[in-house]
Amino acid sequence: MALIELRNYAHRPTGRGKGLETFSFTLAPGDAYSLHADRIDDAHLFLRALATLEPPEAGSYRFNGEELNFTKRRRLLAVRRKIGYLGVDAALIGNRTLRSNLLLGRYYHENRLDLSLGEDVLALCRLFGIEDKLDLRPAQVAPEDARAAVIVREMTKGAEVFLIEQAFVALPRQAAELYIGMIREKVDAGVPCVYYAGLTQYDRLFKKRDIYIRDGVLSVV
Amino acid sequence: MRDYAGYLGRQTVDRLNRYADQSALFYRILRQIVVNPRTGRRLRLRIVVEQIYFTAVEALWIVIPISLLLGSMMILQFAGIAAQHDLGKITVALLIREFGPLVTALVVILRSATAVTIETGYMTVLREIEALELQGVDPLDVLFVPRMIGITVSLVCLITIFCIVSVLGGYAIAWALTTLPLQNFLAQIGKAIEPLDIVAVGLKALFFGAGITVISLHYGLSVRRGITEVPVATSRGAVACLFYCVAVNFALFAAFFL
Repeated sequence: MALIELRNYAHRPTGRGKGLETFSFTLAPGDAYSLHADRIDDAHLFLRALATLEPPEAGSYRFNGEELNFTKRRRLLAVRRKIGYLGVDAALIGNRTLRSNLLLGRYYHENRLDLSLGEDVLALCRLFGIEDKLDLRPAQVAPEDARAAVIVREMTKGAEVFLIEQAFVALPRQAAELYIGMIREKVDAGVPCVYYAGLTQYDRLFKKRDIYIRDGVLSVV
Repeated sequence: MRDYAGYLGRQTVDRLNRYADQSALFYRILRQIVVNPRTGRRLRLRIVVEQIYFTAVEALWIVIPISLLLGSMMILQFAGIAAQHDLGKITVALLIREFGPLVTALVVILRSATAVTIETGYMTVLREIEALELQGVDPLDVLFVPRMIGITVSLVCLITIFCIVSVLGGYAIAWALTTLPLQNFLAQIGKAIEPLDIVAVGLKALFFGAGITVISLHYGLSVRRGITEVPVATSRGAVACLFYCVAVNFALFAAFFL
């Protein structure tokens, strides 16, 4: 069964894009798509649409076979939690430390405040070189450290699908390679993934199929 | 003429839309407070305590001097112009019932409402609210509900402190610095205060707290295109809060004392 299914979905343009003309798309376990678009804003819009961050103007969105009602916020939150969104606009909460950012979801869902970071999370922080910056706020660390914290947060939240945009943005080469390796592990494990490489040459990293968006028209090859 | 009518029409529709949005936001926050879901309850409580600290505790050093100065000044003025037996009544009517809540609300608007609008505006533009949602965290629970409870509780506390300090402190300053006749002042205050005054002041605190929170959050959430919109939204939000408080103050005065 498809994990994400967009039926007759359409969205008006954002930024300098052409928007998304009516299309249908399914993402099932084991799928790995490389996304190509003639306009960055359209690729970004498509990833945000998959992440449920852009309500459709027409059509429907199904997650695990269940059609989502974008006015039912609580249900939408449960779905969003299962989506690993690593768009260029994925952010941290500015008035909390990196540690608090990484723990916020657990504070909330486990209804406890006496939690500490798990070994897996700490190991990733160590690999990305942010372990000694965990008690600083995002504005107090370099952009690549903040980006690394976002990656650690999304990679460790138990997402069922990954939506990735320009993996090499704001990351030093070593961290980016580590990041790519982590995504590759997820893809090999059958976690579905859509990856937009942007203008970089890294568009063939995990792909099994291609998605093209040209003048707002989406096609899967 | 037609252009002007069109302008008026658009302004009216915009304003009605804004009031409808603010009412909807208020309803959602209130419903969430009543439902009080178990998920995130401890986190919510901690943020409420933080909000009370920022809004009430950190504002004490502003509210106490203002209440002292305003209290002593008004008591001296009243003593100068009023007959002795009316001093308590005038002090209760003006200082406790009217100026106390309004001046305290003004301090909260200047310090906290503007901060809430700025924070919410930045969080909207920088996609931090989306970041919360992508972790399954409801912004209503960790942003809006704690602000509403924190600011309202803070206003109740600050107004109480303002009234007590302005009357007692004002009396002490007036007694120490002048030779004006202030005999039996505290006894007169005790006699002049009626349960209706306490109810009216309590209601003002609740209405002010809820309204200030909703308006400042709404203006923060209305920021869409970029960070440059944040100062404009903050300024408009603060002015809207002030008008709201003055209007509510008058409405409650009319309801209770006309």
